[in-house]
Amino acid sequence: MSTIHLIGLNHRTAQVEIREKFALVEYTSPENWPFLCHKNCRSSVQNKLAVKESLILSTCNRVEIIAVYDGSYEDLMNVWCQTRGADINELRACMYHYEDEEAIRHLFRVASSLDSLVLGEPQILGQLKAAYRLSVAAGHAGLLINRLLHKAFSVAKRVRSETAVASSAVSISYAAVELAKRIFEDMSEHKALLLGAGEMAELAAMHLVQSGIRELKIVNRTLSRAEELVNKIGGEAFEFNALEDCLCDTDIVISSTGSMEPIIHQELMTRVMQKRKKRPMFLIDIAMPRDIDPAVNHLDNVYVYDIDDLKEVVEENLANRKVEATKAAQIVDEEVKFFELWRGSLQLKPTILAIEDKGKNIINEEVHRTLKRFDHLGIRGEQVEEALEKMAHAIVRKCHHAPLEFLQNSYKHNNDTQNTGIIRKVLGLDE
Amino acid sequence: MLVTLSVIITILTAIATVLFYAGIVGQYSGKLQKCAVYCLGASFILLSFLLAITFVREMDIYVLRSWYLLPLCWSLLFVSFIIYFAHKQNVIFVFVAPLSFILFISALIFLHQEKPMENLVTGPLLLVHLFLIFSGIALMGIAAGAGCLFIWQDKLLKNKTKLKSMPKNIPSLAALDKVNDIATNIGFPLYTVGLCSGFIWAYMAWGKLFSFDYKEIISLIILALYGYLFYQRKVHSINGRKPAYIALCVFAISLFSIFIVNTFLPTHHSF
Repeated sequence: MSTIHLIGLNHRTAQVEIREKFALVEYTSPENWPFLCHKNCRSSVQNKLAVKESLILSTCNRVEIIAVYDGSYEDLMNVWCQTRGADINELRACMYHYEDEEAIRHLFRVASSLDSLVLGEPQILGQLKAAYRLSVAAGHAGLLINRLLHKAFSVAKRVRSETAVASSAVSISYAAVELAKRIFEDMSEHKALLLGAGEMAELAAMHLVQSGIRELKIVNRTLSRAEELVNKIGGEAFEFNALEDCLCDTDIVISSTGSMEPIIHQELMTRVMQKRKKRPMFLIDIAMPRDIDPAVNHLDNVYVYDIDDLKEVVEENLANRKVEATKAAQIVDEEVKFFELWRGSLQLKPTILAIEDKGKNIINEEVHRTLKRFDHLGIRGEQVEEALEKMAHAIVRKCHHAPLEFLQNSYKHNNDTQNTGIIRKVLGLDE
Repeated sequence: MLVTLSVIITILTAIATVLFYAGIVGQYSGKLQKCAVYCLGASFILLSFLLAITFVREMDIYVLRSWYLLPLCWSLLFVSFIIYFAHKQNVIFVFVAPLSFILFISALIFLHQEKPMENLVTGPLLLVHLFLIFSGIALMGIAAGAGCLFIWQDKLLKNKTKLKSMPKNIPSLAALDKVNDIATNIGFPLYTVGLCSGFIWAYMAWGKLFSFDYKEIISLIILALYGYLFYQRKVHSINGRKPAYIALCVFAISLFSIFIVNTFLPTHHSF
């Protein structure tokens, strides 16, 4: 049975400069694929390493090669370095290598986002699917890679549905949007106001726009900067003196100005809340020093969250994800066992096929011989032939049932493939 | 048969309650809550059947204490399903399910303490009075349930602590406030007309509109508070914590009126 090799480097083992140097992003067809597949073996590409199956995953945080190959993983490293024109020692210093069961476990962990920089992030699964598509297009996905990747996708799905590893927000801007959804029923019925045009506020505003907010207003001391942002993410720009009117008309406020004094204070908000008949407001203050007086939070139906509050939410969610990750790891271990069991059962396949072939030969010979005898006796007809064949098939199937069951059970329960030799001798499969 | 039917209905509402809360706390929220709605729907159909046969067979004693709580429960489920179908707000079942369960259990407890009413007090106008007033109280219960969830979630969001303990599938503050608003807007007029029909019936039966009965006094207090909530909502468009607290207060007094005044004080309603 061929070995499954997985070699690679990721955000934990290599700096971004190294990851860039060893990135494998441009491989999309059999012609430029760095490895040679056994079945595509041609003399013109003999300088490439021949592997049975391969897959390349190259993202911003990891570069990994999975190869089903009988040789040493050092050969894979050589090809990788030659392809990128890099030093093998540099690769060796930051590379990891897994074989068989450990390689399968690692792939399942990657697919389930347990090995990601942000635990539980969903992008990696899409990237893995894209890598698999390329491998299929390049003709490098065989029995093992196909089964392995499909299993990895189903493990990832199981982890997502059975654990909460990807359930809560782990970025400041996403956490703000999630909190807004706790207050407002339907985001498409509400308006948002961006006060100041900082980078963080822009990111949070973009999340709000993506969540389907009805209208976005941008208020900034420099109108031209507000207009620039409007061109980028949409909405309407206002001058700073329109702030109070804008506040009366919006439900979500994201503030990130460079002001040294609070801009939104309790007195202003009391007036605003009276004008808007105390409809709820959610204010997110990501400025430092803060733009919103913390006392505003004491007003009815006003919810103020500053950067520290949001960080706390994110940290709480991250801690929760870590707890869930242990549950996810158990699922991965369970699935690795099932996959290994299936992979091991592949060793039985040649013997099972040989038993079936032998059976077919016996059926053909004996049916032919009996039909000749019937001819002498004057018994002819399609129905007779059909009945004979059916009977012969049934006899052979019943005779082979016990040895096949014995073979499969001995592997299933004891992980034992030695009995194949005995079965082969008893049934004379090698004669 | 009636007792068996009551027990089955109680079990169904208990299952619905568990399923709703399991849906809020755990995963598969949609499926679990759908199952819970089916359970409540089944208990509503069975309860309708139970009330119908009781009404036909034992017309003279249908207003017993247990059969006083059961129509209240029927009204609660009836208005809940109307709101559910009209506004697509399945959040109401989060508090309607446990409330129905409590009412059914109470009905079962009082089953052995039956005390028939005077024949005098039965009659078609009484049915109108009962149906409207129970629908009003049921909607008050829905407003109070939504208010209770609102206050709890508002406190967590304001304090910014224990946000993790907040179940993921709990409805937003706006959704809860909307339920409170709908329930008040429909509930108050029903309660008012129900109370007026009661006074008219009292005038026809006893020759006086108001007899300073404990139940009558407390009902007027409830009407005043309910009216205040309705007025604030309609005229001043208040929302948030204040209407939530008022709804809770009105419903608490209603429960006091049903369970304490009816049981321990001398009143026309002590049956």
